[in-house]
Amino acid sequence: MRDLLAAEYLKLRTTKTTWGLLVATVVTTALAVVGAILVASNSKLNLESLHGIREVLHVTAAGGIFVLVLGVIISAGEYRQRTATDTFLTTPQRWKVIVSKLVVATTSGVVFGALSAGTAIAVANHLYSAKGFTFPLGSSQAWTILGGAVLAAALFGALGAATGSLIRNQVSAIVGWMAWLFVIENIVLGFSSTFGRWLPSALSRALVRDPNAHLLPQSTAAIALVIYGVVIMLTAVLTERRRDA
Amino acid sequence: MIEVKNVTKIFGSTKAVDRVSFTAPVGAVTGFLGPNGAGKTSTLRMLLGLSRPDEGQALIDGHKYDDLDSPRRSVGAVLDSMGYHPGRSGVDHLRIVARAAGIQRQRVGEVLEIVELSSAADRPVGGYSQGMRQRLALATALLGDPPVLVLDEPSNGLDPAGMAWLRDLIRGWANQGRTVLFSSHILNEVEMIADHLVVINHGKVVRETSMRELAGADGKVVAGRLEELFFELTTVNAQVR
Repeated sequence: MRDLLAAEYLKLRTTKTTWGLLVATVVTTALAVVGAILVASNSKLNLESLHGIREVLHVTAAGGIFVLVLGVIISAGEYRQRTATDTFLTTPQRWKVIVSKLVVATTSGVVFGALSAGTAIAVANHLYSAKGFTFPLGSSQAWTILGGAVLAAALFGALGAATGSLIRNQVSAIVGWMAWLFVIENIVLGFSSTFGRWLPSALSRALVRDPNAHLLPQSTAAIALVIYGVVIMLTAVLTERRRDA
Repeated sequence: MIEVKNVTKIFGSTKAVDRVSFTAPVGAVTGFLGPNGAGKTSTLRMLLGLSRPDEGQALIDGHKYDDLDSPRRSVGAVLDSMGYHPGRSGVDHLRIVARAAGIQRQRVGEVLEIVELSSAADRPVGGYSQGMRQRLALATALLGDPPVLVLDEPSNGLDPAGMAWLRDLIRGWANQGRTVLFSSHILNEVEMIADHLVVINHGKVVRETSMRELAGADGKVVAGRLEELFFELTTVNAQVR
């Protein structure tokens, strides 16, 4: 399993897509934080208040979609590039391949999330002083939100990898997720917020304590997202047992 | 040694492979011959654990592929379904397989030498010719220095010089005591390198024989003899042996 994981990390490092998605994640986060600070200061919000911090920092998860895409590519990309044959010839136990991809996507999510969090702090710190505020680096609230953003990225990576193993078509998996996160979930949320807040996008917003909606507590959201990931992964493992490569 | 025992594969309502049995002996080149769509690739995929037989089993040195301790060190395979990430270099592709299989990194350089691809190894595979991709596939198969080689239409995309080179390579492996099973629909190729012959048609083995049996008194296969046999065996009404 250790060799398999090392090989999966090597796969990730040797494709440009990984680095492109990392840049996209960081840039999106930076732009989102800039936007959030401009909106907040235009509406005369005290940026140093708890509400101000939440308004500014909850957008740190904005790049999460790219981590999800990375996760899908880590798994389903093997079918798109037809490298799956070589992978399964090396490791015929397919559950090992699925699990190792999940691990790689999750840890990559941690890295992407941590870099997003770092970017958010740097941008916020800079703009706060430009606007005459001091960014509260010592605020536990700020760190709770940033930690939530890292966790959200990790879990989105896991969700992506699990889905990519289940749905081998990379484009379908990505388009499906986009449609789900940006369209379907909003419709469901419109009908029932009680039910809608248990859905992935709302859960990731709960992890970064989005102040603009009535969401679940952070810990509940984290557990719910883990359950989503595990259920999809187990479905993929069971499906794979009956499937030809 | 490769033993295929009564293997059957059904896709929908078609029996792609129908109770196929044959043996590929150690230290010999076994040609797996049949027209396109005869079931060659389906059989080899089951042998390599890539698809599950509906019946029967295919064994490599007595084990199913999934049960091999270290598959890459036991079997090397070249299949048409193998692809490469176009942006990844040939050497990185080999490093990844080597890493996953726990094979030492220096072996990557060695196999690149064997398939004469060292000079292009650092370039992205997307720019490789079909022949270079085939050489990379052979290099991947050789990473674990396996005693058994399974090659599906290995000469695909190779030019005449490349084909001659591949024949020498395959012959050399068998002479080193390895088991080589290769599929082909090119009669000439089989005639030139195979010791053992399995002919498949419509999912069924229609003949298993040695080239020696087909040979004349001088030990050489009479020109056209294999072609004659092939057409005799693969015409629609051919009887199962």
